[in-house]
Amino acid sequence: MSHIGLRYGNGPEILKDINFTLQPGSMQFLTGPSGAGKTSLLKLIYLALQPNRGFINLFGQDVSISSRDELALLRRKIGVVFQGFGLLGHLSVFENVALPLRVTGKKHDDYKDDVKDLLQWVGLGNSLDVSPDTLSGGEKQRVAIARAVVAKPDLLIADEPTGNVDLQMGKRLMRLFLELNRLGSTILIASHDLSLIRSVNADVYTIENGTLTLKPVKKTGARNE
Amino acid sequence: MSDQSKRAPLLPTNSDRDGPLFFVIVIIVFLASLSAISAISALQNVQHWQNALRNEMTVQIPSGDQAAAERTARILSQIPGVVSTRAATRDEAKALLEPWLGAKNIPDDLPIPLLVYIQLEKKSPASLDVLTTAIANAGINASIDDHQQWANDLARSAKAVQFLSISVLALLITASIAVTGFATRAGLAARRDLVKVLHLVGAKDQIIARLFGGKFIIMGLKAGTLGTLLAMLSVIGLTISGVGAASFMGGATQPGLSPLLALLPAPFITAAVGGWTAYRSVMDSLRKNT
Repeated sequence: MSHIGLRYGNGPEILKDINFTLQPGSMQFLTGPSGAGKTSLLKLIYLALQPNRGFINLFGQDVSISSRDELALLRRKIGVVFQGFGLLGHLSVFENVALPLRVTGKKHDDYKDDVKDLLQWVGLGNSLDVSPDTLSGGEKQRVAIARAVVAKPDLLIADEPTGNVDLQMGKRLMRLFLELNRLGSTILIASHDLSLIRSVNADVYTIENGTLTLKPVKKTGARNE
Repeated sequence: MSDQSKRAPLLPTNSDRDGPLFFVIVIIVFLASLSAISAISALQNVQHWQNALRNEMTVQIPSGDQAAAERTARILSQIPGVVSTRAATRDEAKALLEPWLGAKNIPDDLPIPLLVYIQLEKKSPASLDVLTTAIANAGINASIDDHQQWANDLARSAKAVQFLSISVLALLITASIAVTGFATRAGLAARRDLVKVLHLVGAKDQIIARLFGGKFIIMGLKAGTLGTLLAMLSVIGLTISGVGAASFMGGATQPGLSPLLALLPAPFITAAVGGWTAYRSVMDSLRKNT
């Protein structure tokens, strides 16, 4: 990502000359005050937005010249945990989590057990058939995380992934991210939670007034705890 | 724990706006089916009339002389290309006038022209010139009518009705495309959440378009079947009650229920038009708006 600028409509520039590289297999945090542009930056990375200027190179591919089909294939390599969860109320928890596998054309029998195991792991093994609309905020967040990781993405982007869960579940979900990272996925987590950030040995980017800086954060834990 | 053996449809199958749309499509298919029947009936009537009149001629004896009429029939029956002839009686001629003059208002001394009916061979019919010459040579004062003027007028009328029916059919198909396109775009807007999530998990535009296309194929099949059935029942009802499908053409002939067979593909055509329109609408909208 180089010299990225982003503005909404004719408004002020939200992101200014962002230069940023995610090393494959790395784990990084993104922090900063509310409204600083964290979510906008994540949207650029998961291809929900196009920058007004600059270039985004994702998995060796210039996204500005990629076709819509090529962008779809790039998105399949990315798992996203949205701040608002982005769950579909007319589908069951199981179907929501299976969605990334389903759109790739995988057969139901090939992923059924994996999805069930993952939901069991995030503590929702008894909620396979319920609508996400009936779940609590924390449960929805776990469904969203399960959906983001189910296809073992090359890049996982999470926007405040532990914001709605208790401390114990937060640690459990972090272990899931760390495990995914250990298996080779690149992880980028946007968070306000300094204790969460300090618990993991990872680079921390701070975004403030639309500019991005790499800042050291005092660690309190080991990376693979 | 559920077996999760059956995959749920990604696009919700029941939507509040689907009900009215379903009935709009039923009505369009119903009207389109009636237009199609009308066009087919018109075509059949033209063919029927032309076939019938091609092998018939009528001689008119203005004097109303029965002997002259029978002599004419006898002479013409011997000409090659003529299958049979029949001289109508004065009573038959009076019967033809009764609708206009009434049964008891025709005086006995009123000169009424008599008709001689000629049935011609189908393969090599006698020509108008040959028959005219034969009558002239026999010294009979008569005129001969090959019905071509009447047949041509009717054919023109039938073709006008056929053109009108096809135009209405084309307009209704255009209307169904417009309605489906509008409904698809509205459905797409209402399902922005679904489209956004599908995009972000890596669904190609075609996958999303197929969801909407599939939905309209099923709706088209159901609505098309219902609309076609209603049209068929209406025509059958009219036929049984004596009005008949031919009433679309003024009741000149009765082609029966054979045009109904042409409606059998209508539900599939409706489904194909609906599915294709929805697919294209979604692809266009996604390219423009996302």
